[in-house]
Amino acid sequence: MAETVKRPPFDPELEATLALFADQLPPTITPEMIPLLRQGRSVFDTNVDDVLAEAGVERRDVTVPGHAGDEIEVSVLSRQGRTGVGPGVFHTHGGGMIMGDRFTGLDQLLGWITDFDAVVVTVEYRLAPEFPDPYPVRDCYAGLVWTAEHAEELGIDPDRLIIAGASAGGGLAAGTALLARDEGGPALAGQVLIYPMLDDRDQTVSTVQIDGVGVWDRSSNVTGWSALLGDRRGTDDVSVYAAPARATDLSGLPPAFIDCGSAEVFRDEDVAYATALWHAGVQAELHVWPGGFHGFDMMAPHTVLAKSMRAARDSWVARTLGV
Amino acid sequence: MQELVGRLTALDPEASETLKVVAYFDVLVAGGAGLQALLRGAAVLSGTVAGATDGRRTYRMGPDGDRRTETVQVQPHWPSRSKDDRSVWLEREGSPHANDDMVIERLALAADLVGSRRPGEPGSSLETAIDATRDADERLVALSRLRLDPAREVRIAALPPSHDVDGALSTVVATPYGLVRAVVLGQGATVPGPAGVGVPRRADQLPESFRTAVLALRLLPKPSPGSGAKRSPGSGVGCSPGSGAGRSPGSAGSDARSHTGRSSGSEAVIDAADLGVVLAAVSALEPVAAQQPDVVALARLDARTRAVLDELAGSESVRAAATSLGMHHSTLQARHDTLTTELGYDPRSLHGRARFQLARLLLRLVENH
Repeated sequence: MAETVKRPPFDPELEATLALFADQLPPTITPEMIPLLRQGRSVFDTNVDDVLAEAGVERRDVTVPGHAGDEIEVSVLSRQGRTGVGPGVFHTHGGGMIMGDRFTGLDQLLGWITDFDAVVVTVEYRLAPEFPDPYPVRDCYAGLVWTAEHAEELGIDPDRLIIAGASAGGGLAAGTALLARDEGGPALAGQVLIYPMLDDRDQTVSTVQIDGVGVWDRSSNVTGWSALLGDRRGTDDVSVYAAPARATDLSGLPPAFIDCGSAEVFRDEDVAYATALWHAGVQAELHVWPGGFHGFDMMAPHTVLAKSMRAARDSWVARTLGV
Repeated sequence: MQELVGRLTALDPEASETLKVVAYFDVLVAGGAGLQALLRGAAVLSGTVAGATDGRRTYRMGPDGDRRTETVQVQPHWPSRSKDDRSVWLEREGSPHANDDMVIERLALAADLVGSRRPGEPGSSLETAIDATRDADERLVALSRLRLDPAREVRIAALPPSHDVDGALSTVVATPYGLVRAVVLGQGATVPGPAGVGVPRRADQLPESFRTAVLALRLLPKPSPGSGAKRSPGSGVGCSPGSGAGRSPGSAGSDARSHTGRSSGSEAVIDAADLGVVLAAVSALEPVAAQQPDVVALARLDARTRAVLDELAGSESVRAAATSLGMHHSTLQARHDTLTTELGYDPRSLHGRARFQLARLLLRLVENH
């Protein structure tokens, strides 16, 4: 099929990786595929404890109050034998609002635990469509509140607590930061928004460009947002906490790190969010990696672009945490 | 989301994944990736360190994509390929993996191509000279680098990228149909198949010769299942040599006989100049080929039925067709009647033959897209 809409080309190493996955993973995820995708466990799920042990990381599971006081689970991850007080990271995982678990994307955080001595609290928020908005973002916020309240026993310096998430988790991190600002919640030292999913309206140029190609294309994104918002998707009845791109006042938010690829649906909303933060006088660092598809650092970690992306992100986290 | 499910890791040590290996390196070469990216690919696919030397510098990459800087002695038991002073290798210890041979072959080929495309290398100038998107001045500069007289008539042949022609100026370029090797053919020179030969043009109009060469290459019959793919994994355009049915498709009726003689099996060569108005016709119809009812009708048939039709349309008589197909005459006659009903025309009638041949060629373009 001829492509009618021009888009930035994929980086050759990333495109080669896509070619290998072509027969296993279609670019488009439709609602019928959600159960099947949930069965396919993420690369770390089956051996999460092996991965942690190999990295020298301890895991403690805690049941905490979620949205409306329901019980949800969080895992506290720290370097084996860690003592004293250090930086903290509250993590909201990715998965399009519809899949994944609190260990999804763990690989992106392990270095922060082992090298920066951070304590990571990662939250098992409830997934759409069974638990639509506001469950996911409210569960995340409740987890953050619990983390801040228990900072001392967790060994977290409350002045060095940041929030981080990728993809849907990036959108949830941004929404949680907005909730913390508006509801007098914990003060955050930073927000790491890794190719965040911010906008339910499906109106950007990048969403038109990434339709039927790459990873997490336009239709997949509509699938995710529709699961979260149902008929409200794209209407005026969507809160800024569910879709932070809708926020008109970004003042008073913590400094942000935002990255994405130039060939992904989220490119335009991510660049716009960084711009809006600057307009509001908030510090932000933005990286748009040329030829990157969505989540390329996870799918193709051996590539030079993935390594550069990780290095830039880790550098910001190190500076922000003061390590 | 896909990135949660998939992550590029080493291929199964036990299972052959030829197509994946070919696809990976083809995309890298098409995208203009450098040697280090090729090595990272070889390392991640094989799960071991991949190395290369160009005689002066040595590069080694691990499966994690990081460079290995320590010096090593290349071991004789490691899979490797050498050409001139350049070599590539996989630092495989223990038993070899199922894809080692394929990985090292494609790595060697890709490294060779990438090296020959560096600015100033002849391959790079040839790529410019046959590129219709470059303006005429740029192409003239490239021709002078290649010492080709702009007014002299030359032809370009298109081959699968892994088929090199000794002594001929050539380069590999990315086309919408995969990687293709473009070879400059002197007057009267021939090229081994599988290949498409472009129409002769003045050197300053080489893109047209290359365009028709690629078209001719795509008109070659596809290999029959289980034979071609194994023998020629190098084909990035899906036109590896036809095995049994290696008939030149540019020929209608009894002409097919004379073509079969010199273009059987892996020797298949189609010369665009022999196609005449047929070339113009398939060229013009290509954009709508997939929607043509006659093409759709052929696309629905299995390989055996298509072979029967080829023989029916190409033979002097039904009896002769039956003999070469190893079928009984009356059985084939019955098949002929059924197929005539099914297609809505008789592929042996004068008009039917033309209709069938054109649809058959267009189907190849659709399938070798």
